[in-house]
Amino acid sequence: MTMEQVAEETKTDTKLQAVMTSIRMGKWEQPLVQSFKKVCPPEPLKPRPLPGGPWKEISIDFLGPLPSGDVLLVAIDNYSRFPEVEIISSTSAKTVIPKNVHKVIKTTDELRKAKAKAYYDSRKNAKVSPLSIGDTVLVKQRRTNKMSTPFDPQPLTISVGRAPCTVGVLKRSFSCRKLYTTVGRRYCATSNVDPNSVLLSQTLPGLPNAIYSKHAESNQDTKVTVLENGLKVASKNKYGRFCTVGVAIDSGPRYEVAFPSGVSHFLEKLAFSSSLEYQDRDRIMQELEKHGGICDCQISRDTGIYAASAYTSGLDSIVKLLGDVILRPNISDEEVDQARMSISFELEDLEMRPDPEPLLTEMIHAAAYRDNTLGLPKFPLPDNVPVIDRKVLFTYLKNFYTPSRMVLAGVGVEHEQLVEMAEKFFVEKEPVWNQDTSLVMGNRDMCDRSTAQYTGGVIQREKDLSDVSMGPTPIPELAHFVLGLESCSHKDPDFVAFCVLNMLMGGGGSFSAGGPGKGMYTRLYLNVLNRYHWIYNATAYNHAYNDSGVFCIHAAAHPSQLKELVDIIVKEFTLMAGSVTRVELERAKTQLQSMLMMNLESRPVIFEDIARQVLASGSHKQPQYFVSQIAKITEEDIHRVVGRMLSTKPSVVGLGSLAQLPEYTNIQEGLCQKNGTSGSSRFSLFR
Amino acid sequence: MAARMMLSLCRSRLLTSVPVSQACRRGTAVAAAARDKVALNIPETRISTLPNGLRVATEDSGIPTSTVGLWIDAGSRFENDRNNGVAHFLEHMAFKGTSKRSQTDLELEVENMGSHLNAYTSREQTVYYAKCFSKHMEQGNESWLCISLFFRCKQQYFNNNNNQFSCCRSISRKDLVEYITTHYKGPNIVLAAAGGVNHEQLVGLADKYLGGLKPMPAGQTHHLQPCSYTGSEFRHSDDSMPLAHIALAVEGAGWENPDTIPLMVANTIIGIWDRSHGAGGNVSSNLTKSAAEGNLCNSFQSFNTCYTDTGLWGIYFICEKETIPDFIRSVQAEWRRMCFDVTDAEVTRAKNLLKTNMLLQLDGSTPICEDIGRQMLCYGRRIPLHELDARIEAITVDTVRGVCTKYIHDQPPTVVAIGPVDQLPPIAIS
Repeated sequence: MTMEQVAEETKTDTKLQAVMTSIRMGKWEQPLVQSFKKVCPPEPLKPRPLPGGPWKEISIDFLGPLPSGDVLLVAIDNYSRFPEVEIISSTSAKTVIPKNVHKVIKTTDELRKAKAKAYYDSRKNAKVSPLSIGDTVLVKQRRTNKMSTPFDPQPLTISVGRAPCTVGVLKRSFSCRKLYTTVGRRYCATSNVDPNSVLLSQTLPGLPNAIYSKHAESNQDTKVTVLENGLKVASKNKYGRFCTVGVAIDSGPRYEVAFPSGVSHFLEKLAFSSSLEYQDRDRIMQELEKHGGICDCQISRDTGIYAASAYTSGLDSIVKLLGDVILRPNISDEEVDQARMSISFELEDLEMRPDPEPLLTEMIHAAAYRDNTLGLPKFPLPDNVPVIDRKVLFTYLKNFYTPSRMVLAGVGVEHEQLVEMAEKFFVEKEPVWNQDTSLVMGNRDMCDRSTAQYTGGVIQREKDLSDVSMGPTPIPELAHFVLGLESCSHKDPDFVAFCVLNMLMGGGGSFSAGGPGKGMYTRLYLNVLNRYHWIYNATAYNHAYNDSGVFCIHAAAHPSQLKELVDIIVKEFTLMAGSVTRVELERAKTQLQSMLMMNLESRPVIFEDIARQVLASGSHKQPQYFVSQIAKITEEDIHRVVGRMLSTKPSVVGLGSLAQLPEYTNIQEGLCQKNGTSGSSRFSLFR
Repeated sequence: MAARMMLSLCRSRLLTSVPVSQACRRGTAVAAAARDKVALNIPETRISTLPNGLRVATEDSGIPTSTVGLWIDAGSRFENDRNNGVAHFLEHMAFKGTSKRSQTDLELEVENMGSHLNAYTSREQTVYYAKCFSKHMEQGNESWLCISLFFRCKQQYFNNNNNQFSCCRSISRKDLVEYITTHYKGPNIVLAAAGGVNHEQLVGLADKYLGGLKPMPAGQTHHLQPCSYTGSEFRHSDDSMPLAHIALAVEGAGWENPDTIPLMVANTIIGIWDRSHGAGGNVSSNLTKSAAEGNLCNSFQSFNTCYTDTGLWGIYFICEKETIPDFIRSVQAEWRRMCFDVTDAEVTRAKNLLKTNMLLQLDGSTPICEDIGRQMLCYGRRIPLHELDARIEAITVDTVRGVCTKYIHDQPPTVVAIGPVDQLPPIAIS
């Protein structure tokens, strides 16, 4: 390029002209050149515009030469970006032209598309539409009001049909030759519609395909880890989208001897309220809702359980939340006030409710363990409601919510992850009462470690139950009676035999057993409810705890027949010591097994099973273990446990009009009669 | 030089373009895979149809117990003046035995196996189901399929037991036979199972025991008498009752209607409350707030009942007689708010809650089996979880307002009141 050519090229640029002049005149100055460099920014790279469609524009080029001397002939369709590569030995026209690379690329692409179409047609079960151009159809319409018809009354004519499986474009017409209702539906489904207008019976268009899992239940054992502070972490994997995680604490009304009774009940009400991290209950709910979770707290006589279920992905937040709620609650005065109010309502409700079951359970425990441990009341006495305050609650928490009394259990979680989270939120972070000692009263150890003492005895409560029905359906006036004897703890080798005995006795309401399989052939049905139609209900229960247990039968009838009722129930107790037929024993065992397995279908029950077992014994036994234990029970086992039970003092509870309730000593004597032979005749003396 | 520049530029673009486009394609393929597939981590619901139209639907989770049942498209709605009560009657007859075995035999067999049988009838559905050990599937089914056998053996059975019916004056054997022959047809029945069930085995059993049921005659569909919602008031004033029980409803949407889901969201926003929950129970609900603060009621519960072509959406509450007018006013205000002023935050929370409730309840074989059976009858399919998710997600505050306006605003209410209800004002929902 000569100077003149450069001058010609740059004559519009004054700065360049100036440079030219200075060069020509021999006055070369550096700064000018520098400014010349500055003014010319590099041209930005622009993408090539997309052609209007496939095969409108293709690019062909050589790539190479490769070390072998070969050259690659590359062709690409600029629209679909579909490349075709050929290896050629030279770039001469003679070798390149016969390759016809542009045609090759086109046919390969067409083949590929045809294959894809066939595949998707088969996947979607596409069928050739029965419609053809010129057909008249009705089209499904949105329901705008209650009078509107499912289809648009105005028929449409198909004017354009594209692919065989689409319905095509419709045009209004007034002739009506064919009416395809089903096609109208399909039309509705294939168009791009608002999900809120697609019938629930139809698949939402454009949904991803689901990958379902196969049940590969490897029935893993429960893993248990004990952390250095004594907290036990137990978990089991279970497939599904949800996990249940929670904490079981060795705490409850049975330990309340040094506190005003009802502390646990307050804590149950206050559970999942504000804590250090979460300002109020609403925050906690929001946190849970984020992970599709729910939470629950239940404090039974000897175990408190705080649990939450949520998506498995939310495990970390759930453990964090549990740690905070259990170890670092705020328990503000307002919250305690609210709990007081709702507990007062609850106590009121409890008295009004037609079903006295909670009251009776409460009373039988009070009778069986008079004034100690398991006999302490679960519901606060009305006098205690104003006494229980923040300080009492925190003192209780400090004594009982200690790591060694706790189990963190999870179902559907990875064990390592749960342990890691436990370290973080249950070990590293201190409980609030350790951080701020002013929350608690004194430093005295108020932890009750006494063993449950079975006492037996009577608890009676006269109460007018003549008008208990809440609604228009009348409930007959009833007198309730419970007779209990000491059974054993759930750690005792006889525990399984007691459970079988419970199943053997069964029972329920006289109105309906709820269909076959609900224990219609248990003894309380066969011997009691089916025989004496005036008995309203008779049910056997076995309450088992860490160190003791009580086996009891609840029964109810009209107050005037209370004496006869007691007579019959006492006789049933003595009959337990008599012969047990093989058929009824096998039936009871199978029913207990099936009840166990059916309950363990649900994740929260599995969780509770693990948490309670690990809390009680430090390990978890698989349900199969109990199933085989149940299978081993024989008639001798039943006789042994019945003998053991009948040697204890009876616990008696009466609720209602109790004028007809026999004396305690009579019941005691009745129970001493062998096989109930003379039990009833002895009773008749006192009638 | 310029030409060379162009060429090299072109070449370099070509060089990059190949891998870039490949990467692009791979990228889209990955994205497409993510969009096309979603892992649900639950077993698939498998559906088969027998030649007579009966559908078998199962979800196999491989556990040692299972629930199996028959869901039948028949209920009190299909009765007429003459045979009123037939559906309920049949429910109670289900376990009365068949010609093959007596009631006691059947009951004992079921009890000895540790199985549970159950039956219930609603207005549109009749359900018989059994829970049993999976290992007893064949044997267990034999006994519970007795229930269905009883459809076939009914003739003999009715003959044998004809005298039993004399006590039930209005319902004759003929009525029962007619009812069964009309409604218990192949396409109206779904055999659903969940827990440890083998689909092929169950299809085999279904074919063996239920294959004999009649298919629907060609051209005939399950006819449904159209239903017209009228709305009205029913009061049973009884001052001796301590509390008033009141239910208030408007016409809701049918099963298939997509409006059902927004109505469920609205339902969730209003919520459930009991005064023992305290004021802090469910603070997201406005009605809870007014009920707790003013001590207006003891408990309330919103409901949404669906039928084939209609439904009921409303609230049931229990309160003292003095607070009836105040609480009704709160309910009306809340319902009006649902139509016009419900907020985005409320809808979002209610959506989450609804999803959680729907998914969490699918735990254990019986709830899953009930879900399969009901959905197969109502929708003819089982809605996959991710679709349910997508449908709930698609709801916005405008959807809820629109649907509430359509169903609640200016619609005739239905009012039922029992107890000391003299103070109940006349109700109009605006």
